[in-house]
Amino acid sequence: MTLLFIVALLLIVAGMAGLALGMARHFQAVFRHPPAAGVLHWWRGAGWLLLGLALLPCVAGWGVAIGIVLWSGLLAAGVIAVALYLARDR
Amino acid sequence: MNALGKALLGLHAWGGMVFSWLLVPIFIAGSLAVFEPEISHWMRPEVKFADFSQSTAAILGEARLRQVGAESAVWRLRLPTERAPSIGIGWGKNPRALQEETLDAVSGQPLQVRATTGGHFFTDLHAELLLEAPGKWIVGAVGIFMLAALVSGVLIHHRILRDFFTLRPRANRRRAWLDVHNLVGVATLPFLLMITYTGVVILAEAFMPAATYALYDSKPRANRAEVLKSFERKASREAGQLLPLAEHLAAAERELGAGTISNLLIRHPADRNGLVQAYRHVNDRLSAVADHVTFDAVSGEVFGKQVDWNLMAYAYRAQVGLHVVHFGGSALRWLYFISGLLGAAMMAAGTVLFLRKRRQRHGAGRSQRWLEAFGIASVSGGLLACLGYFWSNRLLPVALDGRAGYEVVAFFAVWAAALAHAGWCGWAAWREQFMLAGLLAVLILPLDQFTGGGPDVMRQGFDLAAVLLGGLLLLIGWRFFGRETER
Amino acid sequence: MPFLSADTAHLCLRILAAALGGYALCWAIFYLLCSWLPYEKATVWYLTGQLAPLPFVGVLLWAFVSPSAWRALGWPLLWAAAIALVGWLA
Repeated sequence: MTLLFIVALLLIVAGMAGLALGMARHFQAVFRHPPAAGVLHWWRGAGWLLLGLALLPCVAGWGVAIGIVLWSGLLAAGVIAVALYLARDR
Repeated sequence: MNALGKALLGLHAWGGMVFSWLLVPIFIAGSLAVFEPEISHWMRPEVKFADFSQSTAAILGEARLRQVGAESAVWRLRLPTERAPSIGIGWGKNPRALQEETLDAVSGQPLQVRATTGGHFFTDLHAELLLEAPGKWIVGAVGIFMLAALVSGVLIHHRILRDFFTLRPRANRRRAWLDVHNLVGVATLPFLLMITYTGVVILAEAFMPAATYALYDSKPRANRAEVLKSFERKASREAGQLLPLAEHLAAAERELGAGTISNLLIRHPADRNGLVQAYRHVNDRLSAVADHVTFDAVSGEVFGKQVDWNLMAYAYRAQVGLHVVHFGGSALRWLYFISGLLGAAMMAAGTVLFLRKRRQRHGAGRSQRWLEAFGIASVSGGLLACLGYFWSNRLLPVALDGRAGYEVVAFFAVWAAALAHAGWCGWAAWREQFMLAGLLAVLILPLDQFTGGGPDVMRQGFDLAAVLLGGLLLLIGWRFFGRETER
Repeated sequence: MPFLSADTAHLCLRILAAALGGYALCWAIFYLLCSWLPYEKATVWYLTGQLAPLPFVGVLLWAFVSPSAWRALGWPLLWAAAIALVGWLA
C-alpha cells in the first residue's frame, strides 16, 4: 500500500512537471532558453501520459472507485509541489 | 472587465470575506474531524493502545454486560479497532439513549475515562456549529455560498490556464497573495467542489424537507425506514440462553467478511426471542451503507440479512461516504485533512488580499479594523481555539465536575480572546497569533509527555503531527506575515 | 438622508432573492419531481436529496448578476410558481 502510494505520488508529480514544462514560460524558467518549435507538445503529452499511468497504482491498491478519488486528490499535491519548485528560481 | 464580471467579482470578494469568517473555522474543524477517533483517543489518555483480539474482546465485553445490564432490553457492544482501541459497551431500554462504559481492550476492566467530547466536538462544530437544527441551516447556507464562490472564482479568474503552476513569492505582495489564492484554489478545486457539494447534500435533509413533505407527510426518517430493512421481534417473556457473543461475531464474519465487524446490537439478551445484529464496517467502499445481519440470539440461525440496497439510496450514500471518508485508510484521510486545510488557507489568502486592497483604498478606519479583526480571528484565532481545546483537555483537573463542558468553554474563550487581540493589535496580530499557535502546537509534544500517562503509539502519532503542523504555522507567521509585509 | 440608500436597498433585495428565491425554486422543483416521477417513493427521495444544492447555487449567482434587483427576485419566484403549478397539475 505504502509503496503503491509513493509510486502514484511520484508519477503524479512527474506528470505535473511534464505539463509545466509544456508551458513556454515555465520551460524557459527551468532550461534558461526558449523552447524549440513543437517541443512543448512532447512535454505536455508525456505529462498527461504519466498522470494517466498514476491511475494504475491507485486502482491496484484501492479499487476503482476509491482509487479514482485518491488519484484526483493527489493531483492537488502534484500541482502545488511543482509550483513550489518553480517558485524557487524566481 | 464587463458588468457581469464586476458583479461576480463583487459577490466573490465581499461575500467571500464575510462568509470566510464561518467557512474557515468550518474547514479547519472538518479537517480535524477526519481524525475524530484518533483525537478522541489522544484526549482520553486513560485508554492505552495495545495488541487486542476482537474475539477475546467480545468475551470480555459480554462478561461486563452480564454484570451491569443483565436485566436490560438492549445491549450494545463496540469492539476495539486500530483507530479506537477500547471496548465500548452500552445497556438500557432505548438504543438511542444507553448507559455507556469504556473497557480496556486486553483486560476488560472498566476504565475511569475523563469526561470529554473528544474529537466529536470538531464534527459537531463542523456540521452544525454545536447548534443542532439551526446550525445545520446556517452551515447549509454557508456551503451553498461556498459553491457559488467557487463558480464565480473560476469565472473571474480568466488567466486560469496561463497562470497554472505560477507562484511569485518575491513579486509585489499583492501579486504573491493572489498567486497563493489562485494556485491553491485551482489545485484543490475538484476536492473543494466535491466536499462542499456533498456537504450541502448531507445538510439538505435538514433544511430542505420538500420531498419528505410531499412523499412522507413530513415524517422525518421515513425514507430511511423504507430502504433500511429492520429485523425485530417482540420479547417472548420466556428465558433463553444467549449463545456467546464471540460465536455470533464469528458467524457474522462468515456472512459479511472477516475483520469487517466491530459493532453488535443485542435485543432482549435474556429472552428466548432475543436477536443479535451485526453491522459491517464501510471502510472499503465509497458508499456509506452498512450491510447488516441479524441472528437468533439463542440458536444462532440467521434471522435476517441485508446486503442489497435501493440503487438511488446507494448513490446518495456514496455522496455521504465521499464527504465523511471512512474509506481508503490513512492515505485518504491524510489527503482529505491536507486538502481541507489547503481550502482554509486559500480562503484565508483571499481574505488577506481583500483586506489589503480595501485598506489601500479606504485607509484604516473603524470599519476596516473590525473587518481585519474578524478575518484574523477566524483564521489564526480559530487555530488557537482548537489548540486551547487540546491544552485544556490536559490542564483541567481530571475529576472536575462538568469538565467536558469546560473544554468547550476553553475553546470559545480562546477564540474570543483572539478576536479581542486582533481588534486591539490590528495587522500585527496575524504574525503574533500564527507564532503563538505554532508554539502551542509544537509544545503539544512535551505536554503529552508530562500528562499523557506513558508512551502510546497512537498519541505519539498525534504529537508528531502537531509538531509538524506547528512548525508550518511558525513558518507561515514568519515568512508570510513578517515585518516587511505589513499593510 | 433616507434610512436606506438606494444601493443598500437593492443589495438587500438581491440577498433576499438569493435566499428566498433559491428556497422557493428548490422546493418547487422537488415538489414537481415528487409528483411526476413514477418511481418508488424512496428512489425519488434519494434522487432529490442529491440535487438539492443546484437550484440554490443557480439562483444565488443569478441574484447577483441579474441587471436589476427586482428581476433578481422576480424571476426565481415566477419560475418557482410555474414549476409548482405544473407539479400540482401533474
